[in-house]
Amino acid sequence: MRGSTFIETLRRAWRSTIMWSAGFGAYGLVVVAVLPDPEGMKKMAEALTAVPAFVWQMVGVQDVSVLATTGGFIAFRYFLTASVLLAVWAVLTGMNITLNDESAGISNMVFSLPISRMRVQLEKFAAYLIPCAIIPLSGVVGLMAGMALNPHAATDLPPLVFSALALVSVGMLIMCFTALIAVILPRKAWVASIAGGFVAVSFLFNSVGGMLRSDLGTAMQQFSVFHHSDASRVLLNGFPLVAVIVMLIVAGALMAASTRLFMNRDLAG
Amino acid sequence: MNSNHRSTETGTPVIQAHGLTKAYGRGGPLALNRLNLDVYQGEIFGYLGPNGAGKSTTIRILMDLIRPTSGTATLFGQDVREHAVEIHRRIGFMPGELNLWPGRTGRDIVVYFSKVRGGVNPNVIKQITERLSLDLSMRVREYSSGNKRKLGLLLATMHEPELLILDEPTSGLDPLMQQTFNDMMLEMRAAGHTVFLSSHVLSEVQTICDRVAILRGGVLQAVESVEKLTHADFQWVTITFREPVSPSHFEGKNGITNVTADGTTLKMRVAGDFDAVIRAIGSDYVVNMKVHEPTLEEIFLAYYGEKPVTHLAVAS
Repeated sequence: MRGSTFIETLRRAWRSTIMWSAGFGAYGLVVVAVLPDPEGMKKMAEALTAVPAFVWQMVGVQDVSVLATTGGFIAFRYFLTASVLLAVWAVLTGMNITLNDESAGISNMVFSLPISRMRVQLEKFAAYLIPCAIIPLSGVVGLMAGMALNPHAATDLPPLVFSALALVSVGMLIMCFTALIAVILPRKAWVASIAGGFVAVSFLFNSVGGMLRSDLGTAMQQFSVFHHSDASRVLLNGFPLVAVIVMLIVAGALMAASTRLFMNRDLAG
Repeated sequence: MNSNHRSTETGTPVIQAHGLTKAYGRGGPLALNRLNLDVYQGEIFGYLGPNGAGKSTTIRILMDLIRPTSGTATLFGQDVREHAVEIHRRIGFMPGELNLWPGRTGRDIVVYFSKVRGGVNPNVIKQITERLSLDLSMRVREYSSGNKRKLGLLLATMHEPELLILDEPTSGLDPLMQQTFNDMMLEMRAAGHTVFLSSHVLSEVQTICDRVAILRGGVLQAVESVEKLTHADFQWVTITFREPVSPSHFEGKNGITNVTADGTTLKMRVAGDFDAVIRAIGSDYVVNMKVHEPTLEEIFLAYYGEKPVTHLAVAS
């Protein structure tokens, strides 16, 4: 039956989805709940100016005064961490597409069923898109809850949702990249190392690129998935539609490549 | 000889392998070397060989889990790779090592497999579950190895497949459940279905299989009906004399080998006619004389010559 693997994948993923979502939500709530009052924000921004500018640039903050605003504070404190955490989720989930079942020897039984390898993969990809969207959006719910608790915290909802949606494309891209590596090198340690390395290098490109403030730095940032989903840029420039579309296209290409390779190779087992 | 066996070396071929070869890695040793095999509809076919002989490799190619280096394999006349989905609708499979999601219950997995297959009769699931005394409410991690085999057997048979492909199906099953398994296979055959099972337990193959293939080092050594194999060209003769007789009276005579003495009893392997035995007995008084057909194990060892078959298991 069509969709059986999609539903089964969701059934197996719901517990971890709830845990990750709760974690994102709780973190969002805490970040906003501890937001200082306007006077405190101002003092904090003044104190932060004592830190060398390149340090802030390394973590994507081009203008420290932005941190004195609720949106800027959330972008820095919440979305920067959330993007890294979602990258971790994406690596773990990318390993779930084929690698975990294959290394556990479960694929032998799954592919004895009248279902093609392509369908299994595509239904799994489709199923994991749901937690990939739910988890960052749960963070927004947490942020909103925090704003309800903290009278000093107030910002517009759309930029927060846009920032969360930009994270979805990052999660998808990293998940698809990991899935591709898992098809090429079906060993957990290798896949975790390479996908983790990809996340680390991408983060580094964004940090170092921001610090350089030159053409080279700009070029480095263009290759970082974290740059395109940077919440401080989303708050300033709005939803990065082109970057998100490009990341989704790249994710789709990686998914297609992994599906194609998986169809044509031996299963471990 | 068990009356369960029947001659089925005719009819529609269900499994066909032509020149099937598999090498793992470039220039690596051949796990399977130009295998040619035909398995016909309505037979129980045993695939024998010690560990590492290439049994699981053959099965994994037939299931399209791995791809052959060269050669072709067809099930129901269709290429196993090109028509995998259509073929898999018609077959049931149990791998040598059954692994499933440890946190899921047996029922969860049965439901999932039923949904993917579609059209599985719940009454059949119920019947097989009861017959195997299987508790589907347990999580996979809680199942013993025997219960895992039962779950695998349920998953392989619940859709009443035309062809069953089973890799070492009875390992871990208790004797009572082995009998149930044998009965199920014989019923499958009676219904016109085909069973292809690999094993290194010779007695189970001898009990239910119509034909067997013997595989060694990836090379097919022989394909023969169990009936013919057990009527091989040698037999064991045990003679009890009134007085002790020296084995040297028999050893080296035409077709007589492996003569051993135990008090007044001599046991010997006799190939060909019995004339040499009768002549060697001469005037000695014979109290009793028995002729045994060789077991499949002995035939198996004969095919393997003097090289040790260390992983060969013989169920008692």
